[in-house]
Amino acid sequence: MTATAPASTTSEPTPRSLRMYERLLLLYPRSFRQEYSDDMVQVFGDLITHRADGRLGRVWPRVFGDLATSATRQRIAQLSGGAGGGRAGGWILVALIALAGLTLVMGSSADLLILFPVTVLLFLPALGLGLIWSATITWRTTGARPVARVLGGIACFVPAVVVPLASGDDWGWWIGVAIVLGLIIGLGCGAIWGLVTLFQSRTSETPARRSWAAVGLVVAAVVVLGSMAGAGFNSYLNSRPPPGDHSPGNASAQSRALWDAAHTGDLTVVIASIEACADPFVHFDDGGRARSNAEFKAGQEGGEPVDEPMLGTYLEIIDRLLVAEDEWSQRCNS
Amino acid sequence: MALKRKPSEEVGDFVPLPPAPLHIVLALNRGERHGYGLMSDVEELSDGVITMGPGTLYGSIKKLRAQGLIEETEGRIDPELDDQRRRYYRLTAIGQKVCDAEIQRLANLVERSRSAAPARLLGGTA
Repeated sequence: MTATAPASTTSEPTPRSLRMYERLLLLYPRSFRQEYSDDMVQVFGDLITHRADGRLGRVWPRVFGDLATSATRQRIAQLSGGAGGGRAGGWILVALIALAGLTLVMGSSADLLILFPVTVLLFLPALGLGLIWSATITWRTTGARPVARVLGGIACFVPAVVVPLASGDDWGWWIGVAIVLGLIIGLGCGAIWGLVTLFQSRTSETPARRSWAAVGLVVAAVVVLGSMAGAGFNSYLNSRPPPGDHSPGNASAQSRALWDAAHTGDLTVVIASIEACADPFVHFDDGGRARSNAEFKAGQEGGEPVDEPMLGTYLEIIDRLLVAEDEWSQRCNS
Repeated sequence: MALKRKPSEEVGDFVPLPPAPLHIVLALNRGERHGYGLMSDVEELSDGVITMGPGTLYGSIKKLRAQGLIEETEGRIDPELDDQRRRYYRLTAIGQKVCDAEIQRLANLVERSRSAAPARLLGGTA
């Protein structure tokens, strides 16, 4: 059997163009190259010989387009469990973990109390699903070596160990964060796996497999978007100024300035801002304790030391500012 | 634990094939082909609509082989091209069934579409 090639004039492929094409084949996964690179170079040579009509410019655009699409497809196929997962798969796994970490950063400030129904009904079950997917994608990504698979699986939960250790005294809360982090990593990996499955389904997968991948993707998308929405809502709540009149000259203007200072996260800025007030609502004693104006005048002891670099301290200050603001308003009205 | 699935024996699991694998299967329905022969036949079958580069060609070949629809045969030289030894491919038994099913599906599609098409598209006066 011979090919029915629409051969026109023939021209021999130049060694330079063949060498260049051989180098470009590095874009493909190693396993694919080992199996087909010789054949691909041969076909490339045939294209130049029988189609180029003596002009390489007729072949290269077609070859470049083919390289871009097919190399990407083969890399993704490798990621989803094709032969020879190996090193490239490991790097892709690292990228997935980074992606999942980004998702966490965007969603970690979501107020789970406010979103409690969503959390119970959707967020946690979906995260559990993500955990299962995490195991799947890790298994598929790290190729044929059992050790690599185990290490890849552990890598997903490294944050669950590292984060509490690095969090100091408040380790209990951070363990919870770390568990969620691990689950979200699984979710991110699961979402990628769903995409890969859908992408591949164009060529091979069965309808049932496509459906499951689609369902998984929708769940992942809902969870990620919900998390981001929660984070945005929470951020909005935190950024609202205290209630009251914030016009210049009013006590609330000072309150607002202090509020903004507190949100810088820098205690020295907060204290400097408070001390800059003409009639400060909060006074600091020699022990660094903050007291409201009423407490100061009554000679009462202050609350938490303000040199504790914790958010709770800032919130304490804000609370005291609000109390002092009320006191100021009452004084103005009387 | 191996995750690789056993190649399916159900024709329905493969139909419809995506365009590139479909045309490769249809080209192999004519007989054994090597890579460049497949590429040329696909272009001819599709009136030049389907063109594929080496990467797409061998990516599809890899997939079809993994699915058990095509297999490699003994390599040999194609005297019409050059003196290089080439790998040839042919349809497997299930691949032939899938090819037949695709041809039937496409024939039915054309037939039903023609019956519903305006006469002007079929050379009538409408």
